Amino acid sequence: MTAILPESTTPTPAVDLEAVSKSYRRGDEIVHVLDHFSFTVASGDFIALMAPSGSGKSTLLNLIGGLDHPDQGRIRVAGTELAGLRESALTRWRSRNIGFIFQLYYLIPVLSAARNVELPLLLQPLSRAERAKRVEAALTLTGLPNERHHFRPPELSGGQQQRVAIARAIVTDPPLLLCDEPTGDLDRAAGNEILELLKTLNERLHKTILMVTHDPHAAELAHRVVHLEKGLVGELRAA
Amino acid sequence: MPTLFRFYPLVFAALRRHRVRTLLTIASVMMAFLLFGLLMALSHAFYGGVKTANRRTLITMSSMSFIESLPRADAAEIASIPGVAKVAYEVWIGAYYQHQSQILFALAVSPKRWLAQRTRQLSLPTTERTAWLGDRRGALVGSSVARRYHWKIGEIIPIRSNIWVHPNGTNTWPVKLDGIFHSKSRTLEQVVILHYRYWNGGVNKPNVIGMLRIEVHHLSELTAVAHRIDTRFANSPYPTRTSSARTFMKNFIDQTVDIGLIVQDILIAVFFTMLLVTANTLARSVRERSSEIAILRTQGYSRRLIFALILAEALVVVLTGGILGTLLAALLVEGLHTFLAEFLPTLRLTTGAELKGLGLMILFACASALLPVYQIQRLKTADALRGG
Repeated sequence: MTAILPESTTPTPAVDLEAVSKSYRRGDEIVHVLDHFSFTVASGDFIALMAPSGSGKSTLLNLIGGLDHPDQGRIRVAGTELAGLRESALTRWRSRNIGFIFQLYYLIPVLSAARNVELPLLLQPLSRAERAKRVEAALTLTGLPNERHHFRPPELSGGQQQRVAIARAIVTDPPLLLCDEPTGDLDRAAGNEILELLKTLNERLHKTILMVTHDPHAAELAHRVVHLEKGLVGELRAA
Repeated sequence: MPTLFRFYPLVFAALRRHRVRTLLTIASVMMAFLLFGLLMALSHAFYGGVKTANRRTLITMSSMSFIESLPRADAAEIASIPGVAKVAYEVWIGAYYQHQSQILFALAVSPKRWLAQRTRQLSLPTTERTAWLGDRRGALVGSSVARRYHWKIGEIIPIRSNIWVHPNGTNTWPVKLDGIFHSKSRTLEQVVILHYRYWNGGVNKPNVIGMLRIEVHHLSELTAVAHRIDTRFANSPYPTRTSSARTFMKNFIDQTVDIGLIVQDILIAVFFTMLLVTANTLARSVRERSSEIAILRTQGYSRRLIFALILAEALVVVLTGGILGTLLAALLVEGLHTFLAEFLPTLRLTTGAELKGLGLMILFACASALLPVYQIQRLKTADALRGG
């Protein structure tokens, strides 16, 4: 079965997947995670992707972020055809265009919040002062209190750690944020704050956001909600 | 690519994660290089003289054994052999100072010839040189020996011999200290030099010598001259064996113990074990951080850059441990030298050994990083993130 979502109204979509298939080998069995999957996200959109476990939502984010390669089909992100990029070019492209946010934050525990946020900037030809300025701006934007900028992750709450992870994702100013269960490890209050922050990033900084979530409450904030089941788009509805 | 130096927080973060483990690994590497330093110093103590021996010098001795004597007249005969430039002879005194444990490296020599062969190696005031040449009972000593026993110029030193009896019926050969010389050669710094005439006038079997030091005109003639000397005495009652000074010293040492082989075997065993320990520690550390490495990949860190960071980690660990171990070895060797100078005068950690150590550290770090680099090469970013 093939499902195609309505095309975006904007001329250059932020994400454009065309007939993408992806399967994995699990022992002797081949698991088809995505099967001729087509999907378009307009620039500046905020999409919640809801799906049960194992239905391919994380795979979808990995494919869009260039961390994995499709078996078939075409993926174009911000006008760039990913299949045409070599490993090194793909790595450089990713650093400029994609910000990843994960459920488990993946911060380096022995580095301060500011140092964690600085990591993507180390790849850019910026002076130390310029890097510090951008780190400060990103952390302030995410609402992490100033006095906590030099705390190490284990000294921060879950919500604060996720703010640091978001600051790290936006510090290079990528147009697209890929969020994999960003509130999955947080309590309701902290989760709501993170969702508000994502909404702000979308509305004020015009970040395109593709957010995988199990939480219908989280999905309510998105412009659109996409349901994915067994590798296929089963339903699309406006939030 | 930006300079690697700006990534130092990442390198040190990885090392700070398990401080005890990092410190233990550094300590292990330190021990390996401490051992390396000590063994290299020991090797130099035995073979150092071999490398610094004059390349144009031949040593002639009895073909029977090291302790057999040769007639002094052989010196004049050897001097007439084509290719020979200078001939000097010496006798091993087998001396000590006040106690048997205070061994003196004492030789009775032909004074002018001995000095002539060492003009570049010694620093001796002219007045002391003249005084010694004119004093049959005089002695010259290296400054290290003089300092050790607090000897002063003009002092009478009662040198005792385990081999030769003095005409007074005792084993004490009193000498007057006429000169104290300085030398860059630690071996020379340890010697006590007597006049051959003084010794020869006292022994009951005079006009014999222990060995001859022969300088040839041209290095290319070394083997030919050695052959001519041994041929000349082949059918005499005192056949000779002649070899280059370097070969003589090396054979002499190897007859006792093959230090080179022992040093090599120990070092191979130690470094192989240390390589396994360090590589395993690094590999474990990388395995524990696979999700963080995956996160760096999502931020645009190339595999090559991550390899460089892992190599930098290995270099920090190995260089820290290695440099500490080498410094400790240098200190220990200096300390040991003050006690063992009379037995192992050339015991020291040379710059060459330190540079060899540095090269080994870099090689060691690169080899340790191979396994982790292989792990990263196989690491699939998406899988590592899924694993959490």
